[in-house]
Amino acid sequence: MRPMTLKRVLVLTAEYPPRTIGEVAASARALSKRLATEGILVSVVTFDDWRPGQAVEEGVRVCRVTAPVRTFYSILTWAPLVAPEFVRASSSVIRGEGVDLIHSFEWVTGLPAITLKAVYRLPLVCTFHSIEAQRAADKDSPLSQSISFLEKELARESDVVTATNEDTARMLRSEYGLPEKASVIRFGVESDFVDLLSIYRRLVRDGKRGS
Amino acid sequence: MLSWEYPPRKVGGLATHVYELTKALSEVAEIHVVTCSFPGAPDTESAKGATVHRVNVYTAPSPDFLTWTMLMNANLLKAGAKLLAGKSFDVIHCHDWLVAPACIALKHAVDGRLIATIHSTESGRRRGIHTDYQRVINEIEGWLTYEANKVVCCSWSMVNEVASLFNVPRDKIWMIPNGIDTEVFKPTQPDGLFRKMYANQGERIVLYVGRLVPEKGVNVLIGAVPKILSSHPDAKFVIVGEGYAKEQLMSIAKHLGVEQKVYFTGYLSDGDVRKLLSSAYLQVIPSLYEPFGIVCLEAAASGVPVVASDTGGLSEIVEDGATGFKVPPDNSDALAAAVNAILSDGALRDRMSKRARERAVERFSMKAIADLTMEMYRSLF
Repeated sequence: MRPMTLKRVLVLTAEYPPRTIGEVAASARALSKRLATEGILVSVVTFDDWRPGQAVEEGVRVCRVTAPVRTFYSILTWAPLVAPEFVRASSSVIRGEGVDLIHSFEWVTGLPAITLKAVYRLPLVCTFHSIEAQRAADKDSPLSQSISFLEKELARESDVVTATNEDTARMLRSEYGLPEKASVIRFGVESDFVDLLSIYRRLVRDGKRGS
Repeated sequence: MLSWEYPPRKVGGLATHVYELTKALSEVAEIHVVTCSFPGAPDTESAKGATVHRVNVYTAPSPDFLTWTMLMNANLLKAGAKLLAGKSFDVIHCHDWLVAPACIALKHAVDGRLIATIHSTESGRRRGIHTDYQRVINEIEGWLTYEANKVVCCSWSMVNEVASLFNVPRDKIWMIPNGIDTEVFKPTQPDGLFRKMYANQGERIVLYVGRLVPEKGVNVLIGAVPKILSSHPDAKFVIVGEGYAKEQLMSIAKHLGVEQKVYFTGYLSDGDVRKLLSSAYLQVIPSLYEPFGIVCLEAAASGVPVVASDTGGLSEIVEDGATGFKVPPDNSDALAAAVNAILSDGALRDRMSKRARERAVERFSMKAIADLTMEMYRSLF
């Protein structure tokens, strides 16, 4: 039986410092660091081809996985191909020290997040900094439609969806039909962290588990 | 068991193999098949003891096949994870690179045991790796053999190919040939009315069944047609299957002036293929690369002699001079000579027909293949 209090959080993110491409790395780090100061055991599973392995950084356990297929073809082939590595490293954490809740950043880690939620029946929170409809030059291109599909899947399978800004929250609601799920959580803002922590605790207390 | 093909969705020989294997295995184990959706096929069904879960994989448009395959894996993985949650599965069996990411993720998610059947390799299909597209597939195949607890190859030639390409230890590879239901494929009387759709009364059918893609070497067969017709004008060449090389092959037949004697039927149902086999005088398998060649077994079990390329699994299935003839690949002259030899000698054709059927029953029954597969599964525990 899983404990009904929040003790262990698994963070899935394709970016974590020092690997920084956009805002995601800073958000994931801010969240993980702050959770650790609450005495929560935080495990981050992230991608880094240059610095693979395990480390404890700022009180956070970080596991960096690499791409099992080295030839890069496109982002849409890369993400599903690196997903099994995320699942492998995360499953090791879940079966080892245990996890009470998963937090996934962006669609790139959506596939492992959905898989882990289903198999281990864990609550899932996801965060979007933006969605494909905001980023794409041509949102009707096959590439963008496929990314939108993966974003929508992650949003639909998550128990709680958060956005880091109002624009993205509004787009999530209108594009992906999430009238109640999408709320704004800004990482690094203390009041928002308190809100997020209460969401986490509610999900764990209510036993919100994967379908 | 995960496979991107399962009847009625058929692209190559994989669908038939997975269907027959799961049917035989379900006699002794609980089998679930996770596969792609197909128009008209139910989402879930019990097929000869196995439970088939068809997953909608046409969820978003894709810029190319590789991307589509990865999105298919995303859908199969999600469905597989929900199926595996809270249940106890002993083995995850993966068929080819196409479903490898989903299978590897599931293996790690449930801490399970993974079997990988490598039906063919990208390097073999393309005669080397030339582009990034092919390189990705080649790497996925290597990754799958690394992650698998055991690797299955359907012929010794594939064992050698996989071991050398991916540095797989030999003791990790099991050679388990594909099998055939010899009660379904068996010698039967030709259906006269059906036969008339493909050949005239006095014509003898030389049959090809397979995809129309370069590695199948159908151009080699068409190249042999004039030489065969010059000795046996009563031969009729029936080409069953579809593929992107079809237009080119039709154009070669026209260029050689034999288009009236070469009939491209397009895709035919299993039942129609069996009816054609019962009407065929012999079958030609001119592959340049063929890891196994299930069509060779189907012909043998139906009592049809074959002329097959001496390559890959075909070399191991055909008993040269006894169940058919083996010829050097990519050689129309040699192929024409072998076909002419059978067309010229009715007694030889009858002897080959009898021996082909006997050998199919002795060596390739699904019961034997399923027993060997179960033995391999058990070796993991």
